[in-house]
Amino acid sequence: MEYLIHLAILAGIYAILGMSLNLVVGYTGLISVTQAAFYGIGAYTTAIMITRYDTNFFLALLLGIIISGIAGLLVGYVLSRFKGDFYALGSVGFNTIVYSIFLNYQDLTRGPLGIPGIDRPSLFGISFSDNLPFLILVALTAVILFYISKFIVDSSFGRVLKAIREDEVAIQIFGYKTHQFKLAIFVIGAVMASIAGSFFASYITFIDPSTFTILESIFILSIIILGGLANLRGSVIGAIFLILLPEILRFVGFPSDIAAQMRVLVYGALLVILMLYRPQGLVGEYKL
Amino acid sequence: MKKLILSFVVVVVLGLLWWNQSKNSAVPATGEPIKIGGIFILSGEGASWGEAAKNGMELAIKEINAEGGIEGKPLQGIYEDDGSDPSKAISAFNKLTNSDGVKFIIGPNWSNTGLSLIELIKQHGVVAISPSLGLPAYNESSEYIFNTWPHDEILSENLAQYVYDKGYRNVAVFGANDVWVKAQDQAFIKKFVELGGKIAFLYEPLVTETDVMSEVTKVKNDKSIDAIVLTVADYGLSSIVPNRLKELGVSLPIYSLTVSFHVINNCGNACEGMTFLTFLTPTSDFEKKYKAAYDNREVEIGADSAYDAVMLLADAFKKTGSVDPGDVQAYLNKIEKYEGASGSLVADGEGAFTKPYLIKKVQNGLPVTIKE
Repeated sequence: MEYLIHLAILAGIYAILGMSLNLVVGYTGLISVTQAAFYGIGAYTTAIMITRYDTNFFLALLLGIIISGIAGLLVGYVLSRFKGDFYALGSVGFNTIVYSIFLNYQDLTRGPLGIPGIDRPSLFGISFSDNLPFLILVALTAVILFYISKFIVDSSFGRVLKAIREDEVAIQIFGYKTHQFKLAIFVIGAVMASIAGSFFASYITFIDPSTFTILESIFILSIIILGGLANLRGSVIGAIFLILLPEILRFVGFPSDIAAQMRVLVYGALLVILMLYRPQGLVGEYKL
Repeated sequence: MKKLILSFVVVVVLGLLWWNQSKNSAVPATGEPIKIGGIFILSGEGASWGEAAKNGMELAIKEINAEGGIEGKPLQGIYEDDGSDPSKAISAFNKLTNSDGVKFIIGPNWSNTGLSLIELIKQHGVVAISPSLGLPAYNESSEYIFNTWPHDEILSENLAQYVYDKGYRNVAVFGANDVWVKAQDQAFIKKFVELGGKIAFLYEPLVTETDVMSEVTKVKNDKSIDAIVLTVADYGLSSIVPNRLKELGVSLPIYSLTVSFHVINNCGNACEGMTFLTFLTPTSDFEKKYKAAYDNREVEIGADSAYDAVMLLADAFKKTGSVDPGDVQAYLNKIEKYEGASGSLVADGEGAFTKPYLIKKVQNGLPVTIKE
């Protein structure tokens, strides 16, 4: 049971990350490969505040949101002037910079040594130190963020985002300042990713820069491409699929001397098969 | 979509059938097995560490089972890959403890995964012994956590003393921005400076760095530098730096730590004459057994100490007559000395075992012991 709860917690965290990126990539058509940077900012803010200043988790989470929001605003301001491939490259650059800060600003982040001993949340005497209450907290947060995201994409604001995705020049002719919309959704995505990062740090209890590389951003992008672009349920399904699949493969009885390599191979092969038969993802409504 | 689901189901079902068959044929039916989990890096970067530890663990289990197991019960090893990723290590731990009912774990290999498992080990009361993690913060966090690999900082401090005693006072240090290497850099630098030496040059790039020509040129041009220290251990840089030094004709003595066979092989002859300290001290008996069992392969870091970890557990099962983790950890915590396949282990009283190191020199492409 503990094992399933653990997987559900990870799936919940990645579902939040998937939704955060789907708003930017799926609904707005901006190919952003930087979500791991905001995920890391949330995780590091929480870790530093809890281990150094003994701050309550929820205050640390709030601070992470503020810092990610500011960082998202600054980076998004620059990125919102770009389109297509340039946007993707710019976002990669930001992820690299943030990773480099985690790695090299050692007085603050302890660099490659990482930050151990991050406590689980508690609020008004209610402790979330056990996995089940922690799962409930993560699931509740994911559901709230799902409905907030749904509200955003179903609103007139969300319709403008989709219009930007389909034809940015056309929507500009109608007087919309598209860079402001792109900036706004980028900041919202950054804030959501930061929340996921806070939960991740508190759950794993140890973080180091290796978790927040560009590869993690690509993994989050894979979640929404596999689950389905421009579909919030797709983000959740993609997260569940990509978290559970390697775990299911642990139970497939390959000979022990090649088991790990075979799992990676089968995992990769299944993803290729999926992309061949469902290039739009499992429940996708938009193709890149 | 239907084809996709069908192919996925077919793969999983075939795998489960295979698993069931292989499980039935692998374990001799001489009683309910005592399960020991192995959490190792079995894929990606660092997989050679995980594979060595897995081999050592398998070898020990095979020997114990051949001698009748523990009071008739065979040991069964269940191996999980953590890919040196903390969240995967937690998944592996949960799978082993919840699904397989494992109470004893060998591993993990590296610090980042070890540190992420501490809370779980405490919660579950599982005995965990790492064969290659030399960080005090790990074993000192719980009485259920042990290391059969000594604290690496001991080796780094001794390297500083050794280099200083050789008469070198201004050294260039090539490290890396990595959790393990960083700890070695810091320990070496602290001790060397305390002794009165000076770090004339320090370079700590990402472990993936391949172009070090400008840094090596700086070292060449700094005439005050009298020796070079490599703390990059097993990474590619440990063979790249000596090669660039050789290309530029720098003939300063090179000192290093825990250099493995594949680093020496990758070096070509650029590592010739390099002196290094190592805790990889397998007995000749173990080396013979290991080579016989694994296609004449050399013993790599983690193999002998994983073997010892299983043997220590087996000792604890036999002496206490119990497979309760509480009894086993109490027994292990009382051990003061242990003559193992990895050398003469001495307990530090806080879950770590240490042992004498060797000083080796690369001669004709082989590491030759010059001082014990």
